[in-house]
Amino acid sequence: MQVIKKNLSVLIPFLGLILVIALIGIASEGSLFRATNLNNILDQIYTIIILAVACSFIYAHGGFDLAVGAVFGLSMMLSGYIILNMGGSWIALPICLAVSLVCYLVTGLVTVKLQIPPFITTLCVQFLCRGAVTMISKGNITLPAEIGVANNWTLKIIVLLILLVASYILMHHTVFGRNNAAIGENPTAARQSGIHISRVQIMAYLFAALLIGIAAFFAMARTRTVATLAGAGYELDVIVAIVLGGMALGGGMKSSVKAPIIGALIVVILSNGLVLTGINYRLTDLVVGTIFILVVVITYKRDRNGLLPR
Amino acid sequence: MKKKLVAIILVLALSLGLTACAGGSTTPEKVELPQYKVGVILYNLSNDWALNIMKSIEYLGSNLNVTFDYAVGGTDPEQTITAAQNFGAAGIDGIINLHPGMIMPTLIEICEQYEMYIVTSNDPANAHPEYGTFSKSKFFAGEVWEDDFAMAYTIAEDMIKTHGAKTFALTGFPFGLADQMDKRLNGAKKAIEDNGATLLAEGLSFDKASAAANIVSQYPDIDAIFSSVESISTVYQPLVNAGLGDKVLLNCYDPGEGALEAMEEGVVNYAVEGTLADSMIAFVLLYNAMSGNRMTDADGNAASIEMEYVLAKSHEDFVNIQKYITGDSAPFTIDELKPFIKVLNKDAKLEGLTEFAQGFSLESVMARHGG
Amino acid sequence: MNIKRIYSNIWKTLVWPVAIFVFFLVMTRLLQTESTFGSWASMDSIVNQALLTAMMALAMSCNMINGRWDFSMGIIMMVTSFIASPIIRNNQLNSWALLVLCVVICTILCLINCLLYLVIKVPTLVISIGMLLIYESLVMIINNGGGARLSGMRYTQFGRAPQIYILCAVMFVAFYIIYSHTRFGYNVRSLGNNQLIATNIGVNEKRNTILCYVLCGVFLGVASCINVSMKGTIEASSTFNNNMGMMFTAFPAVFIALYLSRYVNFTVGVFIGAFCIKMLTAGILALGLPSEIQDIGVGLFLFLFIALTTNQGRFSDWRLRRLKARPGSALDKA
Repeated sequence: MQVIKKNLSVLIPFLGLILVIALIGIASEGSLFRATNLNNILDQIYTIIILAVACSFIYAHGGFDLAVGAVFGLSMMLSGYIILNMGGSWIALPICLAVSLVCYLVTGLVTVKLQIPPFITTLCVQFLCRGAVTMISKGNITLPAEIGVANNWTLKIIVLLILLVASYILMHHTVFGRNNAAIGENPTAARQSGIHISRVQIMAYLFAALLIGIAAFFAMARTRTVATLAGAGYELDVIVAIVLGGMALGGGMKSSVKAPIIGALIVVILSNGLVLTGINYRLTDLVVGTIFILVVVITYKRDRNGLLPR
Repeated sequence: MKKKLVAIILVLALSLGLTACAGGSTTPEKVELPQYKVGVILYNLSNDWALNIMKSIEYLGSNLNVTFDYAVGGTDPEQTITAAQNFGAAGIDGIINLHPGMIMPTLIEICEQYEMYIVTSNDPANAHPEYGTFSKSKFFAGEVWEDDFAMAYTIAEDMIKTHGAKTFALTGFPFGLADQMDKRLNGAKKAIEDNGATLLAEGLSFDKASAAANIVSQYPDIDAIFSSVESISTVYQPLVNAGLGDKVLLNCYDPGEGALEAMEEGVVNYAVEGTLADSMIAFVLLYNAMSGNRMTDADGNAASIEMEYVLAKSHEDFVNIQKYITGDSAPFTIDELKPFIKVLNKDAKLEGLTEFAQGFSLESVMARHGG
Repeated sequence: MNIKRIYSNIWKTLVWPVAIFVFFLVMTRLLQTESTFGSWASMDSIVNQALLTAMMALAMSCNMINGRWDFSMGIIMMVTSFIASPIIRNNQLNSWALLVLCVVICTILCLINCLLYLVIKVPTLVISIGMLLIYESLVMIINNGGGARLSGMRYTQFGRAPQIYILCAVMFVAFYIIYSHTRFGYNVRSLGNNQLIATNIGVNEKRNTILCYVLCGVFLGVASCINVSMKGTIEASSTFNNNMGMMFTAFPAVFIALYLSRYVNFTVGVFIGAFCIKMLTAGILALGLPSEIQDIGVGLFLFLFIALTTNQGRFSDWRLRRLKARPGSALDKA
């Protein structure tokens, strides 16, 4: 009992996930658990889970990210544009990585060195990247069929596992991860204890960029096309995933890799499962929104200082 | 805990209230036909374009024991693929996909996996490099489309030749959102170039209303504004506010209720309609495929039917469009389409359907429906 | 405050809009584009758009000052106009009725957000995401998804001059007085500066929050009324871009105002920020550049503005060091 009480905050997001799975599972009369649908869920969760884990490193140190969708979109668009004009699908991955790394290096440097709040920096980057995407795009880009080779489940699962394990180790079992979370907990204390804040923050941005670049590459392989709206709205999806997973957006020592994973699972199971239940399309968002608030009510960890949360 | 309960009750009360507001879905008329469920993918579920399409196919569905489910997609490939996968898992029999974009091979793969059929409407998939392969798939029911490039070219050329327009601005969504809209913009650009007119500004933005307001304010002497989408909610009001309603030529695609007034005032000079008609023909192709009677050409390729848009250049034309096409009566009645549905008419042929669909015009609808 | 300081503050505030105006005016004349950038009519349109953005920005800032982010403001505006417009049209009411109805509906919707916030004690940003989803459904349910349509002078007076100027001027003055010269405004600022100290000295945070949401609802209602009056018809949209896009156009104005507030009152800063952004987007179009560059322009401007204003001390130090390093400089002599 003591153990359960002690780990309640850790267990609650899992309970939220189980609750959602059970509700949707019953409402969909078991369709949720069919093998083909589980395959769909895996397919649909792939991008969002990587992006959410990536951004959890930024949120962990108290950052904020409104640029993830636009950077993801620009990585795909620039990569698609270069493939279309120069050929060679193999360059897709390096270009996706290069674009996202450059974007987040700039974001990190500007945020840290010029001391601009990350909300503003990432909003600027969002404007810049979205503008660049629409400027480059002169229509939907159809990619050569060979890029679809990367849409291979064995490869995708291996890559996903490597990324998640690496993220877990980095977040929870390295000095960098602990320092990153310590900055989110209390930047002044972190600075006083000798943590090189700017270096750690930039490293977090770069690690996030690495994951975002990889996610963009696999999204290209999945769709074999690039559109102007690629990645639009992921900023919000990421926030939703992180919050539903039980991680505070302000970051801190309680930040974890499992939060975005659980949150992403809840988001995707909800959007996938509600279609299976045959609910009126006009009510889908209503139900998702309601469940979202209900899960937050149950899982959100509140401070007992009597102040309203910010 | 008490507070949590209050919160839960609050949210649930709001949700239940809204659920009650949503009303019931359309109940299909019971006829001796197999039951099918069709998923429809549209880029927007709530504008006039979408509502007209929904109304037309639901009319057919109610007579053929078909129910519908809708999902957002069409402009974001990831979203479209997700919608198709979810439809597949939900046991849907067929998909009507508006704006196929360039992801048809992936969508066909999903359809093959779930053994569901797909038809594309509004825009063709035949420009795809792999079209030759996937058009033979037994799950590809076909495509019905209009030539958007040609219609846009016609409008812009008419603005120049008939009304003497010399300077132009473009407005609408940016390129890369939907091929259909890109073709319209390219068609207008080509007409402007071919006829020696000048393109002064491209106000293509997700915030279409602000872009349109800027065009009107920065270029008050402009002769014509070509819109690749519905323009009543974007260009109309800035033109009226600036007192330029009767001075600047303007077109509108898939016009809603407000277009009637706009055409009467002379603010909108061209209104293009017809997307709902091609969706009805697409539905027929899909229905045939779902009932095991896929319509193909002699080589086994899926049907590819090009239809004509209806272009209104006067208020009177538009009144007729609203009366006979987008209003209470659909452009095709179920009785007119039954001869092309194989389970109801064994002699139904693709050639016949194609000929019937290609004969679609305002005049033909009025003649058929007693106008 | 000495007169030199006042001049300096005015200069530091006005330099941005003046620079943008002059830049585009000169460029459009140099490039001989066919646009009328700088004419009364073109500036009137820019100001009208800026006023709409400024009203949204003021509504957002009612809560943002206290660190409460709300992503559902754009969709609340949309829902409000969809509920209000058929009531106004079917009952043949007028612009004033539209204004009142928009304000009432927005205030109620904002209070729902507020109530949830106070009851479940979860950050507003999180609640607003849930409410955003719920309101998106509502958009498709109201009028069966048919959107809002109001045309004719009878309904849309607040979408054009001079009515829009008068209405916004009243709102600006009201915000200025409430924010700068009332106990409530003082409490808002003290809670924004340090929540713990403010509550310890007796500020009732809950009451202050409710009032903030009411104020936010009133300003958002005015913005919603102006929006539907300017556009006449608003398409219902179930797409993310439309609903969040409205928010993202107002954010830069708030940020610019926050940084300008060291030189000028926050309320004026909001208008200057909105005006700069709208002039920038109109100017890009006036130059004949594709509108895709607008986003890039806004992003770069915001970045430059914030970077320069935030790091003004550093630039001064750097300039000072360079002057000192120069042999025989005035500083050496001094």
